[in-house]
Amino acid sequence: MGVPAFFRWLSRKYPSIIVNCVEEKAKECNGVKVPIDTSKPNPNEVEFDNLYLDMNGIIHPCTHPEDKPAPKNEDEMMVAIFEYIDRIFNIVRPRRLLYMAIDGVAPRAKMNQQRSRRFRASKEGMEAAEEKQKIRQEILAKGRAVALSEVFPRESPCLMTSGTEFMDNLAKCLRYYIADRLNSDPGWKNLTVILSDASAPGEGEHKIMDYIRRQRAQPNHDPNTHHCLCGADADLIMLGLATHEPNFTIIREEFKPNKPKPCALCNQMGHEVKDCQGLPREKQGKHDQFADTMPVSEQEFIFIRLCVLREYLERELTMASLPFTFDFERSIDDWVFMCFFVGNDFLPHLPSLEIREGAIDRLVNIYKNVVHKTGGYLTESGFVNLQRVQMIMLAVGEVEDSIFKKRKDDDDNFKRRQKEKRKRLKRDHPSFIPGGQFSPQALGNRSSPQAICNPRQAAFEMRMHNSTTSASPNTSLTPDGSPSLGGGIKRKSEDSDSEPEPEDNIRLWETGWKQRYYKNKFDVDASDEKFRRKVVQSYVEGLCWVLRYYYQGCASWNWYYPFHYAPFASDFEGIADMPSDFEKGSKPFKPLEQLMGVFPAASGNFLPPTWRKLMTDPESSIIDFYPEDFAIDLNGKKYAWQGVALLPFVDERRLRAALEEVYPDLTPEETRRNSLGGDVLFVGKHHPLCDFIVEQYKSKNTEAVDIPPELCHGIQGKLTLNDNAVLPDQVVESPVPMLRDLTQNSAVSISFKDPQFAEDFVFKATVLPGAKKPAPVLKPGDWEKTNNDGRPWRPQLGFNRDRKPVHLDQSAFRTLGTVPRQQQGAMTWSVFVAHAAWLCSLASPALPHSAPSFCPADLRPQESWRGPTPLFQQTPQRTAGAAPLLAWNRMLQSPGQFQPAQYQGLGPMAYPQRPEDRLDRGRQVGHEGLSPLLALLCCTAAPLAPNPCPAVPTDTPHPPAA
Amino acid sequence: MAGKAAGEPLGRTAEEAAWAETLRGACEPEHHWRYRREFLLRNVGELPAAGSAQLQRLVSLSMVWANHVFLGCRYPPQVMERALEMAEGIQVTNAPVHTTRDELVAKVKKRGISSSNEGVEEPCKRQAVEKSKDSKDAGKDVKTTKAEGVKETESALPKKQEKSTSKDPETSQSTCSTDQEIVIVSDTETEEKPANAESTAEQKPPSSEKESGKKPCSSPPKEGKCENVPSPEKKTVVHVAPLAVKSTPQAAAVVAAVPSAAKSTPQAAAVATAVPSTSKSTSQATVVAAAVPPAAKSSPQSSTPQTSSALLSSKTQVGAPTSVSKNGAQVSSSLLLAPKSAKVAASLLAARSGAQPGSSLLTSKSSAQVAASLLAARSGAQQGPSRGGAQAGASLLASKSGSQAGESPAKALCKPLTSEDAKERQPFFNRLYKAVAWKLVAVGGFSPNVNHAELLNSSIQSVKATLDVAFVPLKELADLPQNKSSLENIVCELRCKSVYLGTGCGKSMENAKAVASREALKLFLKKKVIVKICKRKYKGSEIEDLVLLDEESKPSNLPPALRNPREIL
Repeated sequence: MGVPAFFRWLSRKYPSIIVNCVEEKAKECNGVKVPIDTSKPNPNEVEFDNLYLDMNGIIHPCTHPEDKPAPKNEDEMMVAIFEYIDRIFNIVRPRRLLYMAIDGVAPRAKMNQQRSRRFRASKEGMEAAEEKQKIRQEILAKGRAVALSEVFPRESPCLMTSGTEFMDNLAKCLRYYIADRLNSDPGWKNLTVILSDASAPGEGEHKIMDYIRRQRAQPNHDPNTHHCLCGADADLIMLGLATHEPNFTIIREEFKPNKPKPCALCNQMGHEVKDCQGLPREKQGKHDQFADTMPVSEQEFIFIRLCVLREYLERELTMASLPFTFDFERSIDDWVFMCFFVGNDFLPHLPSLEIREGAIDRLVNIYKNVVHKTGGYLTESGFVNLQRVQMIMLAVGEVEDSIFKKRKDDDDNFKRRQKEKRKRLKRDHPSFIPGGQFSPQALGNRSSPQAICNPRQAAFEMRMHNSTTSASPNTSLTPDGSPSLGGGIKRKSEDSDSEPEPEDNIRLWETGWKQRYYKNKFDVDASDEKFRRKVVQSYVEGLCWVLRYYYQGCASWNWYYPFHYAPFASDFEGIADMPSDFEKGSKPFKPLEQLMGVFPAASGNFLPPTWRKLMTDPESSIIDFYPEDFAIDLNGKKYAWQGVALLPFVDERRLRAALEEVYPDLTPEETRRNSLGGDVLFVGKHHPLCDFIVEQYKSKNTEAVDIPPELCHGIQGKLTLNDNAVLPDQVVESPVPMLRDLTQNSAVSISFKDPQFAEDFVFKATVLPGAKKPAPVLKPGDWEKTNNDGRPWRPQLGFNRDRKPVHLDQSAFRTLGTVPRQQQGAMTWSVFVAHAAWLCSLASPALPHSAPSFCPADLRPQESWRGPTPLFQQTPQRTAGAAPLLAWNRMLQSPGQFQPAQYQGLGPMAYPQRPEDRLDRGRQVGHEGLSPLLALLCCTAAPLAPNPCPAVPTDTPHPPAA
Repeated sequence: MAGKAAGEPLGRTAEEAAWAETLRGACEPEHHWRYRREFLLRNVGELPAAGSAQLQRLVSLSMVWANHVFLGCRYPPQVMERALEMAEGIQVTNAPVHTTRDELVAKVKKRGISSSNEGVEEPCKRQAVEKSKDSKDAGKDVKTTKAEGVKETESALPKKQEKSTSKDPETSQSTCSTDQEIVIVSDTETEEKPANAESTAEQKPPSSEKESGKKPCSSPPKEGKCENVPSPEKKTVVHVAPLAVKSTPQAAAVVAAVPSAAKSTPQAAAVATAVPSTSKSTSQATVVAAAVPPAAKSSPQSSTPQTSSALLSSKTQVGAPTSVSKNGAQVSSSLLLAPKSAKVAASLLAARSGAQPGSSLLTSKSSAQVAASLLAARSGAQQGPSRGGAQAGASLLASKSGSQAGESPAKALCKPLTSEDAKERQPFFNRLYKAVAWKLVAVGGFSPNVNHAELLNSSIQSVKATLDVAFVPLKELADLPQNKSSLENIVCELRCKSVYLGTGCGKSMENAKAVASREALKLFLKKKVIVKICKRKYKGSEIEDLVLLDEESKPSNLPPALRNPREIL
């Protein structure tokens, strides 16, 4: 969703939805990487069933990674994508299904946004290239050689549109990748993989949603499937909520602002293009072995737990004394719907609703007030009740005026503060420096300051001095014309750094804003009631379309919002009777047609020559779609890229008519690329479905067959033989030169089609029967009242409620001997890991057998995470009285909030105890050959003291004394 | 008028109207459609069959035109030209004003201190043209029409001109593509018009011209020079012609408005700043900024008959390069079209000498006295200034050739700077250095409390020279960040023996001078001062100038020049 601020807002308001990923890193042994066994239990202490990858969210970070150099060519890029998927796979470790979706042809409504992005990207790309060229020439002119670096072309956003050769290649490469992993990776052994490439119409995330929706609607679906969706887009959150699946998690890159980026010219860090000197790269390390290490930390991932968000929303949206029964699921749908007002990919947001100004909170408040009167919810399963929506909108419209005024005030205040701040910073000396005997002395000055004498007199003098100097600024305020030097200088400096403001001729805060807005933005008079009504109607249609798109799938491939701006909330009068139905049976564009629809003429090289000609030829009958330059309305924003690009809309009929003539010019290859395809399903030889599929191929059954649901975790769909399939015992050729062919293939692929339903089937937006609500995470509102034993609330930080915090006790630290005391309170995770690792290394020589269990990463036994935990981690209690309670010690014991924060993540420590665990543990602890160190740990761990920490089960088995 | 006029396209058969209606876009605002329909109907000839290639192309071009006028899109030159040609005679009132992305980006870059901003394409405004649709309500229209186009006009054009003169192929290209429109005033007979316009366009680079019939025409020699002098009864129509687009890369329309009054008064002549600030009185000015000197200069060169007109020639004399340059005026001319009941199109020229800004000699209100003709030069080869009759002759020069023409005399007049020039002044500044040093000692050293202006002035006087001071309002200084709050400020440039000393900016002239003097004095704080030839910006282009430097300062980052140094030398 085009709301960059949405995620930020959400994660600030509902912080507990974020969980940091625990990632197991590959270990290296003699320079060889030991692959991670992803069939092992998930280090995040949760098991996911399905992982969905929105590939476009992956391609982008791979082409422009922030933590490593950009790939130099397409092949490297493919490998980078493989590695990225591997990484996510390692974190999530899905057990049933991996679904990869590449953006296919988007609905017409989305094409406008794509178009404006591509047009801008193409221009930005050209400017960047020019700048680079110029600098390069400057450098060359200075006689220096430019360390040439080949960087993947900047206009790669254009590449990533369905229909380009690149996307076609990507699909090929992914087929190879899947086959390879199915053959070799144990974590993939029982996995079903579905690849939905760019030839299948629909945006990636919506193809995923469609899949989930359709699986949910069929009877064999497991209602407790745990979904994990990978992608950075904020609307994934909406989509996830819209599924009403109880277990839904989103994984995305953690956003860290202001990361350094390499220079685009020489690909080195530390400067930007315009400062590029063309210096040769310094050798990194003695033999340049660190050439690829960048001085930035690796990109990390976070989980967004939608079940926690649902908890939050439940609290926020629950309303008492409603005239109808409260249904939380329905109110979630309404919340999602209201978020669309603030912004989405398909509609411009309402001028009065700005997410940074708390628009969603405002909407929720209005909603709560109005819903008493509406007599029901705004939406049902993705269908909008316009009469109720009208009530909400008009309620927003009432405050619109004050919103605009307030926005102006805030803006002015902000500017004033900024100005003052700059002024403050500019003054290079403090406003007051004591003089005379009080004057500051430089440190290290030999002569010690004199003793103070007669302080009163000195203070008086300073006061007098002060008043004279303070008078001098006043002189600068003399009216113009006087030869006031100070005034001139000062004003100049002020002027020079206040940035020019884009002119605002709408002035929403002044009366008459509506007239001005319509006049300026739509170029119609405010009195043109008919036109305004048309705008409102289109917008209402848009809201209906978007909601339907999220809940039921694409209602119309043709519909789009035909204006560049939104109407005001107060204009939503009489919308109740507006038609909100869409023409049925609309067809998506073909991939190449879509390229014609979204690309500027400058990117025509992705198209066949005769098609390209239509974009540039003055005689072309669609030349008006391809302006060279277009107006940008800053619309109150500061930068060109934030403004609204006023591009003409593409007339679909004329586009198709023009293309008809050039269709015969397509080569067979292009025709193939231009066709719409479907999804492909892959399984490895261990998968129960494998034999079934192989059987299909053997019998050459050309009819579609249903997947037997019992073979595939209840997944349903139709299978048809695939012409281009991966088959067992057939070589899978590598599309990337640096990777080898798969000669011993045992994976198999087949075309897959989602279960189909009748056209007027409505996917119900409800929780399925049989779904279990996940355990609550948030602190119950009545915690203090109900938990009388006085235990304070301990927030949950991972997926596991009962994760045990890890402590080292005093003696352990003494043994480590490295930790200065004052550091204890603030010891960070990394420090701790370092210590733990050191401890392990200490312990391991003496303890060859049990050593692995000390490494946090290896804590888990094969079966599950319920296994034994190393001793020093189990035993948070220290021996009472053995030592005075030191500061850091107290802290470890008191279950304060630091505790989990510092020590979480060491590994799964305390799942619910089960008898076999204890046995296990006892066995392990009883292992002979305990080193003195371990013995020491065991000793100190003996729980002689009453347990101060409620989180630690008191029945922790005592380790036998060594 | 939106509602009503849309109903019936005048003079069309019902069939044609119905045909056109099928081509209407679903969400086209009423009056946009009205104009586009006009476009379609004018160019359709025989009604083509639905779906024919011919129709498709026509629709496409109509969209090109509409997108250009209403959305602010720019298309490749040939396409633009074609569409604008077809649209000749369609008068659009109240077209919205847009900033294109290129302009926006160029502006931002200009602001930045990036060293690489030389080649940045200058923003150049689309000029929407307003016309009265027909002569009857022309008068009314004048009032209703709004300022079109260019809001921050000022420096755009002059800069461009400078640029193009600097022969940078890149820039000239870019400018070419950005200025697309020229305003042609011509008569309209709806039927004949296309042909008419065509012919003017093709044969006569200089555009048609229009006369105010009723007006007392005080300039006898000039009337009826043009081929298509319309008869007075005819309606006046302003055409949009794709002017520069074609062959002249930078076609800038230069309008020199020389009010007769101004001409006669020596003062005005000396200042050479006839400043008819039209925009003040009526909001209908399309403003084109132009440098006066080139305009003035080029007029003699242009071979068109009009140049001989008394007014113009007098103007040329008056505005002879030297006198103009004396005042260092950056002139931006504002071009005003006020098609008032076949009377007037006025082009106005705002000259910007800092000294007398805003002396508004002409207002469109008093349009009876003003006739302006706007001239579009299609081919770069020649353009003639065409003049409207009346007391004020407004001459309008367009295009690159104009600026080239303007440039060449300037070149002829002042030889390029050589190191000789610098050397010859060095001894003087050595003496000045000592003088300043002594003065500084006398006042107890350089400090903020000293009256720098006074000190500098007295030092210079003591070595028998004078301090030249030039002021220009900040807003006219093209190369500085444009900043609303500072618009009232004034920039001061100090020179001595035509060597640049320093620049300052302030609320008042005194302030500015004080700041400039302080900057200049700072030069004298180092071990010695050197006269050097350095590149400075002047109206967007780089020129050479004699600059006083201290031994450490780098000749980069010099503030832009206020006056063309060539003219000072």
